[in-house]
Amino acid sequence: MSRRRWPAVLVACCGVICLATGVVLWPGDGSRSVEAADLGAVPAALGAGAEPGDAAAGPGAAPSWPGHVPADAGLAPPGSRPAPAEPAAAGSEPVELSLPGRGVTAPVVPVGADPAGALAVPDSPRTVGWWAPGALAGGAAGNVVIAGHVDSATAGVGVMAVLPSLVADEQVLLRGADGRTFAYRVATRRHYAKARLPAEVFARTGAPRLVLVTCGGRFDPGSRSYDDNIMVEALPART
Amino acid sequence: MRLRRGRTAVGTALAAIALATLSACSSSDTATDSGIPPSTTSAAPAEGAAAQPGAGQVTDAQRAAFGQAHQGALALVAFGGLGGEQGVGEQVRTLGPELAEHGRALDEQIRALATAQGVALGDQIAAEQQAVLADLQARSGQAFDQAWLQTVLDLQQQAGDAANAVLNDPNASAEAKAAARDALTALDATVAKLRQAAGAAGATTPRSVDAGTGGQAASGDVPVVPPVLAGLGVVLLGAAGWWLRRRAA
Repeated sequence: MSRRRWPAVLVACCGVICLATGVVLWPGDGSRSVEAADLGAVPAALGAGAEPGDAAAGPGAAPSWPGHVPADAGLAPPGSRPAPAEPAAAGSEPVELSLPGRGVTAPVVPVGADPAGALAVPDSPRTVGWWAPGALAGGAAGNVVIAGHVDSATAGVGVMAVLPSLVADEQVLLRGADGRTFAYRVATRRHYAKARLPAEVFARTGAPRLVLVTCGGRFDPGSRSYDDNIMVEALPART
Repeated sequence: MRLRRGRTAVGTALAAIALATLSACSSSDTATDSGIPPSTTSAAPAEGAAAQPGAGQVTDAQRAAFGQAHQGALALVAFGGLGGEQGVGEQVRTLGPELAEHGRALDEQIRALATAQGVALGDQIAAEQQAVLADLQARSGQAFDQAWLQTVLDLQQQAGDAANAVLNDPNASAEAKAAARDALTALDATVAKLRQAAGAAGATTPRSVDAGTGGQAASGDVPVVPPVLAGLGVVLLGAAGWWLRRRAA
């Protein structure tokens, strides 16, 4: 090799090293994420042993939940007729979610779990799913779970993309199939690794709450999925 | 046929547990013997039961057991009937009437025992259970089936808890424990079939939520160093190539 070529070879080697280092460090879309700062105290819905009548339930909470039978239920006091039972007002199947402060409105459809055990979230990010075995909108107990895609590979950004920016006490409305509208106020927001989403999110007992769920955290372009779930808890608005 | 056996086992199991619970209470001569505080008041005999042996000597624990068993039976009748009327899936529409039928049979047994012991039982389902019924009635279609299956599974859980309580009670009679064991065996088979039905209907509790596939909502700081390094590498390689070609010319 000619001595005149040594500088060119040296420059070429430096070029290869720089190019290789740049390619190795290139993050692509992997560093992109949906960030959501935690908001409020630890959601009461996820506290151990949350039951109707606890502090979070408030004085107006109805002490009723599926499966609970008081020890003296069904007993007629001696010499008296059984007192007429007065059931709490039932809720309604939610058909529309709206966030007035964001100009967001989305149809709600009932969904269940798919065969793999994941919530069958509607494909369209403009539609959200209500976990049908859970509580009704305006129900006396349990969590109304509404989930939607934060975005979709084919349909773009979803309505639930606003969850990271919701603020405390912001109003969330659910319209029921019977025409009634139920108001909730944002109380808390948390994010969880997907594998660690608390089962209590789907609680059918305890004080009534609205739980909005979507995806967040780091987006993995390879698997086309996010690492985390973002959960916003809203409590029934006092009227 | 196997599925039918599973369905009937729901009512049978609850009946066995209820009767086991009552037997456990009845097996203790006094409230003190069973470890339960003595009753402060004796239940007045039910109408027509004043002459029955044991009337007027019912303890609080016995009354509570009768109440729970009675409410369990009423719940079976109510929830079963609603499933038969409002269900849309074949499994719910057939399982519902089975539950209701066995609830009625269970209630007859409990009422007979209660009358013999001088305990009066009401006719109405508890307000809490009425609220659950109203909640179910407000649903329709597949949403009803899913919620109904979850509710019935809750009932199975309660029945299992009741049976385990009898098994763990040191004062329960041998007969009561045997009945509870039989009930648990029947429950296990029934719960497995109910879970299978719930899984087919999408009524199970989800284990995860996958709600994002595009990445458009994601944002982040664009890194500077890697692109600069890669660009510099391309420039250097180009310069080296140009140099070598120039020397060769």
